[in-house]
Amino acid sequence: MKITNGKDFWAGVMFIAFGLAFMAVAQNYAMGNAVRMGPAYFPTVLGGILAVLGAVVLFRGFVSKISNPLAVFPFRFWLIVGGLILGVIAYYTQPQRDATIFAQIAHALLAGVAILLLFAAFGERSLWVVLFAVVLFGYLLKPLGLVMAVFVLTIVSAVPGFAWTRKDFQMLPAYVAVGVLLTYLTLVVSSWIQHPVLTVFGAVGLNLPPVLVLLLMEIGLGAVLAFFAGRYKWPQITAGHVTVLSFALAVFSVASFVHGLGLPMNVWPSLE
Amino acid sequence: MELFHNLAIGFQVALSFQNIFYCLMGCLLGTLIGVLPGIGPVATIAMLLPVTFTLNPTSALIMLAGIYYGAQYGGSTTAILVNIPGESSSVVTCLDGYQMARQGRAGPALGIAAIGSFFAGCVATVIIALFAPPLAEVALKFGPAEYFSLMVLGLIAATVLAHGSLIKAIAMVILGLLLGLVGTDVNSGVARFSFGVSELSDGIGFVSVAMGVFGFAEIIANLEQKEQREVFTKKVSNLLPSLQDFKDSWASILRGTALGSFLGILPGGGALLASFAAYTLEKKVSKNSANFGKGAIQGVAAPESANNAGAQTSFIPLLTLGIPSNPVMALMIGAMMIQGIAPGPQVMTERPQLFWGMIASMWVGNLMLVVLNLPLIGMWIKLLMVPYRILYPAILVFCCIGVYSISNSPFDVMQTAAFGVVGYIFVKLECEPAPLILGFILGPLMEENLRRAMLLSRGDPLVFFQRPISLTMLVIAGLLLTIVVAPTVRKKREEAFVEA
Repeated sequence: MKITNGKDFWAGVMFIAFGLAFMAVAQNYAMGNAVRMGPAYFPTVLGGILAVLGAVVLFRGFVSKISNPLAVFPFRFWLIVGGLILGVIAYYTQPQRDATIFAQIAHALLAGVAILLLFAAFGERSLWVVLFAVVLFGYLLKPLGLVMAVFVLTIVSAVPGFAWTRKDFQMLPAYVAVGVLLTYLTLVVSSWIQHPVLTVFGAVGLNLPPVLVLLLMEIGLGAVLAFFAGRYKWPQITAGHVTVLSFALAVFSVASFVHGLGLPMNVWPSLE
Repeated sequence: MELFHNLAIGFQVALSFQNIFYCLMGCLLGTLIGVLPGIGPVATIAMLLPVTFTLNPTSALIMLAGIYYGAQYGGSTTAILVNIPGESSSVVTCLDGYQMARQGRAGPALGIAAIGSFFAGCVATVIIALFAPPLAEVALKFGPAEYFSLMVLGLIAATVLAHGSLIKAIAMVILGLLLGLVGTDVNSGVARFSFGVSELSDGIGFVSVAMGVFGFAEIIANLEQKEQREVFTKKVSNLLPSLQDFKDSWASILRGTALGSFLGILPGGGALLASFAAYTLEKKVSKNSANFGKGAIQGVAAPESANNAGAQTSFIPLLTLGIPSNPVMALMIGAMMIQGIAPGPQVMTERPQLFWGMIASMWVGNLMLVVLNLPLIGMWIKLLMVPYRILYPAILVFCCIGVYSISNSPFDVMQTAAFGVVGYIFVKLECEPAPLILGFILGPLMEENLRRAMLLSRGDPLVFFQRPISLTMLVIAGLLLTIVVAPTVRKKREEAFVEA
């Protein structure tokens, strides 16, 4: 028997694994009977069906006329193992509430590396860079505040589209400075417009949440972008521009969310 | 006439200043994301779900609906000018639309797409207004057994009509159902599959799954492909199709609209399927089918009318039965639940303002879209030239803040990233994620109705076959399955998807 269709083979393995896992875990709960179904009844039945379907898909991987290589996407086995080991360690060494700040940071780093390894096990660079930027954002938002977290997110996630030339690197600090300045200005402006502009809309009978006012501003910014896109050819624009422009767009979105929803998020770093 | 009375209520709601504004916002956003390849209505609606917290229910739904049908308009622009489907439902428009653009007839192609869409949108609006009330009346008589069978039918239909392998699609539905079961069991209070993680006891966040599997996975897949675009930026002139063009395509528009409206109502249908089917039909019916793929205007008119009609009529099962027929509708259910509205047949009687307001807003929205698309086409073309590497960090930021703000915890963001990996694997293994999402939202409902039905029948599974409505639905589901498995149809089905 030779595996002809790698995609079917792995899909089958995946479905079988999910099916069996759900069945196994469901055994911890009460089964009940057909009249009064317990919490385990439905998942056990579904898990069984899924495992059977998975077996069929797996079988098709051997007889399929469509041929696909067994290596469907880049997969790094040892990173999975390493990530799992670190993850288990992190799970069992959770620091107490009164632990020192260093212990907490060390633990956070450990967990972070575990997650990074698990993500990096799949796909090309763009996958784990983008997703790690996302995770980083989630965890940095509370301590660093929204502005810095968004900054980190855009810079890190822009990396896969970045041109790694010397010129880009030289320009980077300037762009960072401009970016921070822009953020600050937008936040000030957006907190300022929350009253005057809205009362204007209110007078017309339009009760707009600030979200939409800012959304309109975003669309305006998009129009400006589009205008310049027509003026200059895109290739002339460097990765630095890219970062700054996307950052400016991002900041507008952030400001709209924060002010529109009154979210209890830190905007600036807080030490608590 | 009750219908006119109802529509009058609807227009009163839809034409209020505020709702016109939200409708416009929805259509603008929809066109925007429709034009931009790499971001679809599912991800956008998922992103905007947290924003709708602050709106009133009618405005929120009007805006979200606008995004969906707006995306159908926008998608055609990209398909015709760049040969990349801006939206998955405009894949077939690429075939003839791009060829027309290459022959210097981009203007008429865009024009006929917009006109066809507008016509289809108007017809679909009327169809919803006509067919939704009687259907809702039938649905009011449904018991748990009927609901269970209906969901079985819906899920089976969704897999049959999805492209790709049937058995994989069914497996994805079941995986979705299982994922939907994670969290506290309503009857016993046991936290299932939560592994002691307190965040999981409320269940996996719907937005996390949708955003991870559709949003993040799409971004990653797009980044892997190197960008290659050839945009027809030369002045697109003469948007109005000639008289000959109209003569050639009016029948196609009619056929596309009829087929699209019908397929949209079916569970599992919607814009995507409608456009594929319409193109295939048009090719069969047309006298000069050799012209297809070489710039036949019928090949643009029919699928574009069909996808718009399908997008709108797919609201019928949502509004009358409370059953989503595609992922976008699943998100609409999410939006309704956020607002504290239980989707189902009672929406129409309890909240006529919301129901009829939404229907009327669709017509208003279609009118806006014609205006947005035809004269402003230049602006959208400019937007197309913004490279993806600039767009995606901004999209990511939107997604992340949206996810974070659901419950203000890093856990949701983490969970979404994890589903991003899962979604990437699905893409690579050719497992369609759409059935998974449907299963995910229906999982708890299905279990609940199964339990109730079995309790009422004292454990007799025959109850599903004894009640006529339930039996009918199961028979249809069975028929659908056997038809698809039958060798001849199977071959046809594969052909249809390959062609498209």
